[in-house]
Amino acid sequence: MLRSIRGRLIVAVVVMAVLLGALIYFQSMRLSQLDETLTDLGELQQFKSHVLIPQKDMNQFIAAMDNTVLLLELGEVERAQESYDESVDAEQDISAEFAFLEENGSDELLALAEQTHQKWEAATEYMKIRAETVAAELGITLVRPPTEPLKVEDEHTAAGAENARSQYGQMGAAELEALMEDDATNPLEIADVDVDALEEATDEVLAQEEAAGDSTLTAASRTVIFGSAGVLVAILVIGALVTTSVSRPLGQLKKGAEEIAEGNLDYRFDDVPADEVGVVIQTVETMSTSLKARIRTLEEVAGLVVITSEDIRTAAETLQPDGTAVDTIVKKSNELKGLVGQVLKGD
Amino acid sequence: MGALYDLSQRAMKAIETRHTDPIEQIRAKGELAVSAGFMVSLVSPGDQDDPDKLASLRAAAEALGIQL
Repeated sequence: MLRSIRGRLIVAVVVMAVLLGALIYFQSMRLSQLDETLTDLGELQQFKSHVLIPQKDMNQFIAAMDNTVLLLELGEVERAQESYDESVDAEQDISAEFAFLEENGSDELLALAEQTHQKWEAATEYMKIRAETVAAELGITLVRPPTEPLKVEDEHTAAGAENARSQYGQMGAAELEALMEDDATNPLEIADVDVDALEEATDEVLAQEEAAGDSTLTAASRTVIFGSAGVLVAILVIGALVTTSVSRPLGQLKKGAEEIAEGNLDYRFDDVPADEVGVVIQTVETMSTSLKARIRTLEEVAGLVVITSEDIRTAAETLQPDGTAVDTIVKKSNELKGLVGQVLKGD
Repeated sequence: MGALYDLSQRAMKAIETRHTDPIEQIRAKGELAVSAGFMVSLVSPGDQDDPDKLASLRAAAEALGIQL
């Protein structure tokens, strides 16, 4: 196939198409990786925003519960119950946020999210127990507001509440209050530590994903730059090879045609290629050989005419009355006629 | 290629080598044709090796002093 110019051009085009295709394929792979990294980054950013939201909701919950305790101590029973009821909104929001985190957390963050959820739930239950214990000691009945149906209940909610009940359920108001004095025993601080740890872990994963994104972006840029440069060089080399393979025999043909045009009909081409240009070169050689044969024939005819006409002139100059010279003239003219006749007949 | 064609070509080549003057070359070719009795340049590779033509060509070349 590479013997013909057409074949070489087809192979060159196919090779260049394959190179370009490979470049596009690798580039699309890189872009796909980049797209995945960006998606992961987006999801992680969203995850982080949901890590921070429970803290805000918890502050609202704590404020409502502190208000409840304060109002109880002030003897404002009705308002204390209202404040207790108001804490439910924040509690429901917290559970929804943790449900999101547990649904969307990656493996490395999921366990931490579940643990934090349980701690928050324990802290929430602790605040309720504290308010209810204060109320009980004051002889007030504080009705626990229903959290259904908006609170998302799961195994961690139940486990956290159960832990808090078993840990704080038997304590008095003063004892419960004393727990809050020390960060090591304060359930809110314990939960906060876990939230901070979750936030920190999320930041670490985010940083890793960003580094992976940067690395993928750098690799994609390198693929574009070096891949394009490589393909460009390959195309230039292939183009140069194909052009040389065509222009070299064309140069040979031009040189030979010029030699033949100058009268060198014995000119022979060296290293005739086996392609289309080679066919033209062979045709030119055949044409040159044929031309030489015809020129030889014309020269032979011209020589014949010269020789015969000289013989006839000599005979005419020696014309005798007996007509012997006339016989010579007739003989020579017949010889000429016969030989030229061979040319005319192509004999 | 036949012997007659080969001999014809050698004769033509010898004339072309021997005579650098084109007119002399033409005359020599004419003399060869007259002496041989046939058009030497018209002999083609596929022609039969006619013994008479071979003999007359050799004789004509010898008469004209052409070394074959």
